[in-house]
Amino acid sequence: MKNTRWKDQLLNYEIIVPITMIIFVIVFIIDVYDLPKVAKRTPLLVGFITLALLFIQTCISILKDLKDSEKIEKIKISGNLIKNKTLHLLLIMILYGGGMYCFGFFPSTIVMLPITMWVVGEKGVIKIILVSGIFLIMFYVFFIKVFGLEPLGGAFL
Amino acid sequence: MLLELLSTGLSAVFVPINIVMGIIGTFLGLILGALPGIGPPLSVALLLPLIFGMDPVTGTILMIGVFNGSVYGGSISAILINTPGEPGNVATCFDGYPMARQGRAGEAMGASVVSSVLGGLITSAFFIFLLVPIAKLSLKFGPSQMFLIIVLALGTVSRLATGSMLKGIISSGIGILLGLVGYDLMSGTSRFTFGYIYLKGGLDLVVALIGWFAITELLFLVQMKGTTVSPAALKARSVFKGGKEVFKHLRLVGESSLIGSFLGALPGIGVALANLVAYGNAKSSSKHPERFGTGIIEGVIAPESANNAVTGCSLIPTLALGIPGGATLAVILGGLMILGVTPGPRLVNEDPRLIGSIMVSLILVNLILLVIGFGLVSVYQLITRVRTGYLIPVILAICYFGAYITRHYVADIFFMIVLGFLAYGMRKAQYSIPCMVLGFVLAKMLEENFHKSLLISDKGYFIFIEWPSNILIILIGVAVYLLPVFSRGIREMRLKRYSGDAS
Repeated sequence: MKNTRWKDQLLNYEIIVPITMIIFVIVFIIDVYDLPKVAKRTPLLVGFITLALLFIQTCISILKDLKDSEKIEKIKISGNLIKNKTLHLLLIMILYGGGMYCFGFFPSTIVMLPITMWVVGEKGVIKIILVSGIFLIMFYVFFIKVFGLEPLGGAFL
Repeated sequence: MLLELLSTGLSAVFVPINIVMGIIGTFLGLILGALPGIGPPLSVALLLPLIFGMDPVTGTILMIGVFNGSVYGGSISAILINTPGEPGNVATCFDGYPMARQGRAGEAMGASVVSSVLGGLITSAFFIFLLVPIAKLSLKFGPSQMFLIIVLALGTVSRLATGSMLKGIISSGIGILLGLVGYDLMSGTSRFTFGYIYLKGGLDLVVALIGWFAITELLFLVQMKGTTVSPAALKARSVFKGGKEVFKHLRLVGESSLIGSFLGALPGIGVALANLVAYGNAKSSSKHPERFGTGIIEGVIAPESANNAVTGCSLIPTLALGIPGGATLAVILGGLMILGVTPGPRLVNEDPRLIGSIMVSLILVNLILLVIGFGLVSVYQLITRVRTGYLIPVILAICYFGAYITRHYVADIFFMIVLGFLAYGMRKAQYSIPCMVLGFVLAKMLEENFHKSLLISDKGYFIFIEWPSNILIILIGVAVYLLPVFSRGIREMRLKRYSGDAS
């Protein structure tokens, strides 16, 4: 029970997010510390103030969590991760980016659209294909032909 | 000078391509704004990739059309399915949805269109008459005054942030640090780049905006189920009836528009507060306040006039000072930079064609909204039925395309995803994204004015409390900071008075 309690207290957005930001600010301060005075003055001033406020906010969050942990939004990493749609979308975003780099915008988008619709919960295959097709055609006509914008071509194509 | 600006604007705006852009912008803004979760900042951000290479006037008309359309568009879902399209339409739900449940959805929609248009026209008038004097006044500001105004703008936004003021200030600080990534113009050194060439130019504003608004929103949208609520039925005849009804409440429209215009000009306040303050004012000044919330037309007229009245006046500090008053204005500022426009005190003199065009296009897009608002009645129900499952991948594709197209760096796609994850976590922990956006946008300007102030001063840091200009700015900032406290106190006093009269 004790272990679960500690895990619950650590694994909530109110604690993890400010800690992440503290790490970012500390790295930023370290990076600019050896720069000329003019270059480091503003980042150091803003960095130290933000760091101090982050420490205060983290303490407030920990105290609030100790007092009333039911109301704090937990990061749910227990339970059925396979069914977590947010994680699925995160994975799709990363793979889509990689696919776009390797194969280009259109090939990766042709694959991404129906897969994402399916993963997010749409089950009508014909509707998925229809919506994907209409979007791609309209996108090509307006963005590429009318506005003359160039999408990413792939590294392998 | 005003007449010259207006005549230049008229000749620039009334060409076929610009009118078409105004129509397209308003239409797209209305559609996007009607989709729950897709508010004005995201609506404008999604269209940023389109404006590359456009003439500044054309691109600006498109952005203003989208902004104006999306602010109104949120009322569609607010009335039909009791889900505000964005925070500026929360108060519309209070009476709009009850009207829909009573079979008067058309009346509510008609009242909403006409109120929004009238509010928009009133704020356009304020914009036209106030922009030039404020720009002239801001030319007299030195670096220390500009620095203080930026600090106070960030402070005001943080004051009204969701979560808490402390979290708002932290978000602003993080935004400023992210905005300082890249080359420092004063010393020529790189900050927080780790030798990566992609970071030497800094994080791109458009990429950051798409990540913070669009990617984050998708991560929240995926948790929503597809629309399952049946929207209330709409009859075209009742829409016109509702529109005509607004003209019996012109005093309420005027009051609400004044509230919206005033709050719109203040940084950080914007539509979210304007619609609630206007609703509260309408209720407290009504002879029958107990009827509010049951489905009365005044409960739709007041917030809708106010939220569209924010648009014009919120452009004043953005254009005259280069300080965006909120998230959507920060996105519009990004768009103006893409178009090669540098907002600030000199813009009025350097680009009168653009300024005149904005003045005229504010009126134009409101008139277009009137036509489209009535014309698309039958489409409204379809908009509210769009399933998030189809919307998410479509928006994702547009985001990735948009992120790449700004600088043609593949790394920008990666930064967009990372910034989106960061903003998702921050929103979950109730940190304010608009504060971070403002900090990011104003970072370089803040630093430049800070350095310049110290360079020209023989008093060191004491220049920032110099009498009278800087002290006056600080006092104005404190007054604005305390404004919500005063208005809450006045509201409570009025409520006590009315409940005392009733008993």
